[in-house]
Amino acid sequence: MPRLRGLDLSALVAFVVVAAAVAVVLTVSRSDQFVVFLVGLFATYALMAVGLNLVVGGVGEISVGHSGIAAIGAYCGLLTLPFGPAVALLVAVVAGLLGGALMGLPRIRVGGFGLAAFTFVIGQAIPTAIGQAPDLGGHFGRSVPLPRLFDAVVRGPYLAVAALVLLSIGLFVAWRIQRSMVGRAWSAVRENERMASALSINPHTQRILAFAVSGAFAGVGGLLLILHTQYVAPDLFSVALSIEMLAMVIVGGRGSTLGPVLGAGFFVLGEQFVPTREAQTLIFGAALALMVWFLPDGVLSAPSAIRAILRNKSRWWRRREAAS
Amino acid sequence: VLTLLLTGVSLGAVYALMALSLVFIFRATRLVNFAHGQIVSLGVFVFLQLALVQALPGIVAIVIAVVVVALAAVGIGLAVRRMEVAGGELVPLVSTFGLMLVVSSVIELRWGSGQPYVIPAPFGKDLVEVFGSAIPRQYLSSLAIAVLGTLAMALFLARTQIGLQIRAAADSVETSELLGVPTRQLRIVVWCVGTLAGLLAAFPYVNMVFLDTHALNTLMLKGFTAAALGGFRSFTAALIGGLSLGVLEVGLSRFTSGTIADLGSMAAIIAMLFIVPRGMFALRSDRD
Repeated sequence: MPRLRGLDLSALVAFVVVAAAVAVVLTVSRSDQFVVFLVGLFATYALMAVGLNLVVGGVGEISVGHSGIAAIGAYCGLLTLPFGPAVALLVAVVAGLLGGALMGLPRIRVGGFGLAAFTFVIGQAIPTAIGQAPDLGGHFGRSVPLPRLFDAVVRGPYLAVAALVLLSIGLFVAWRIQRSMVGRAWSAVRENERMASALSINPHTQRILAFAVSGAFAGVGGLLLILHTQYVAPDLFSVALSIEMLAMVIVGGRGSTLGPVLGAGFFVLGEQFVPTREAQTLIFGAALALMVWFLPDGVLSAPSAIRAILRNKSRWWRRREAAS
Repeated sequence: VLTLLLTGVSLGAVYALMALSLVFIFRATRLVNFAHGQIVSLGVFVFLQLALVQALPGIVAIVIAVVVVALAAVGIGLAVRRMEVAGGELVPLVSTFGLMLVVSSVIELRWGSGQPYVIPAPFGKDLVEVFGSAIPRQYLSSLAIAVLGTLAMALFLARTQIGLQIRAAADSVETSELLGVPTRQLRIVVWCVGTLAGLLAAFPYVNMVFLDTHALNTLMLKGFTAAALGGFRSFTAALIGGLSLGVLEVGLSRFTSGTIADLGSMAAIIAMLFIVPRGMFALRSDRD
């Protein structure tokens, strides 16, 4: 998995430069509203996917509850939006941290699927619970006002730029974590839990930590998402969003920091070519199922996978036959 | 109170059967199929299409629905085997999420409009008197189906040769292979039986509530919660979990709205998980 990591720093710098250029273009020129919206949406999804990757690629757990955390961040941010976007952002971060820690809390470690079942249940319970609160718009949702900063309304391009900036910060944080002692502790937990315990790394604590940090990303992402759509409803945070986030991580490659960004890019572009929501989820679901099967390290590993197949074609077939 | 208890127990019995089907598959294959509810849902919608729209006789429709679900289960079983060879246990787990999205969007595309549907109850929906309290008839039939299904599964595991082999393979794959148990073929049987048990839980459930594209997802969530109580290992805990979920839910719904009762009952079970992290009735061999 750490195959792509050497590239990461230069890729990260390149990404930030490109993002800055895009941000300048978006604000200076009068770009198409729709393009602005897409860029903002892309940055939002990418932020959430990078966060989820801290769990999936970091401690090696599967979470399908991140849409629930995003919902907590979004609604908490929405409630504090009147106090200014900075406050709302901070609240979303804290709410995401807490929500994430909650997801990582139980010690259930049965078989190989770890916390996935727990996050699955909680992740669906949170939006349902929010739907029961009429003050929050209930089941049918409510509109979200544009945030105001220094008495000026933050409009489309600036929102997209804000999302890009937050994504860059998020990428930097994720990159730093992966290289710190904490990140190495997570890798140890992912690769061999018993070995990690022997090195006095508490797997449970590390898992909670990873979920908490990852939750902060999801919380901010949720807030950004509803600011972009200017509308919020519990259905926005259904389990489909969680699985789509997972698909971004897997398709882009869970080994690297930038992989999920790539996955989010595919996702947002792909959405434009497929007309209905149902057909979109169908295709993304199929993509997830097939990608994890044939290219478990993401699209960037395709060349090396194909090369390996060509080189070992006979061996590859023999192995398949032996398996059946 | 008796009415409430009976409705709760009937609902709970169905949850328990759902949980059992999940535990059954998990113990034998070490995989939780997150698309379980969607596959089962597909079977119910196939039945709906054939019985109500095409007006085929009920028995024929049920047989076709069962065959469809069984084929889907065999397909999943075969694919999972391939995936485990290719990339370990995380791969099939993640693909079940993908499969879940695929099947649910197929259902949404085909049957998304015109819901919720009402599936006619085979034994009628009038009220019957039991010990002096009235209870809708479909609840009683659900209770009967769920109890029979659970008993059938217990007998299958305890008394038949295949059941014995499945239990052996669940305990130790290597040992049972050495003793000549065809573990690979068994897994396919497990996928089939487990998924059909889920279907058996789904029919009474849609009789008690109604059928829309999300109804069976709710049922699966309940099954998950109940199964989680026993750490996905213990059949007893899954049974108790399912029954208590049902009773709690019906009990709570007397005081608040249905959805809050739903959430409350699930929260109670999940709270139990924090108190007993390894699950109730943890098998001795699990403790390390």
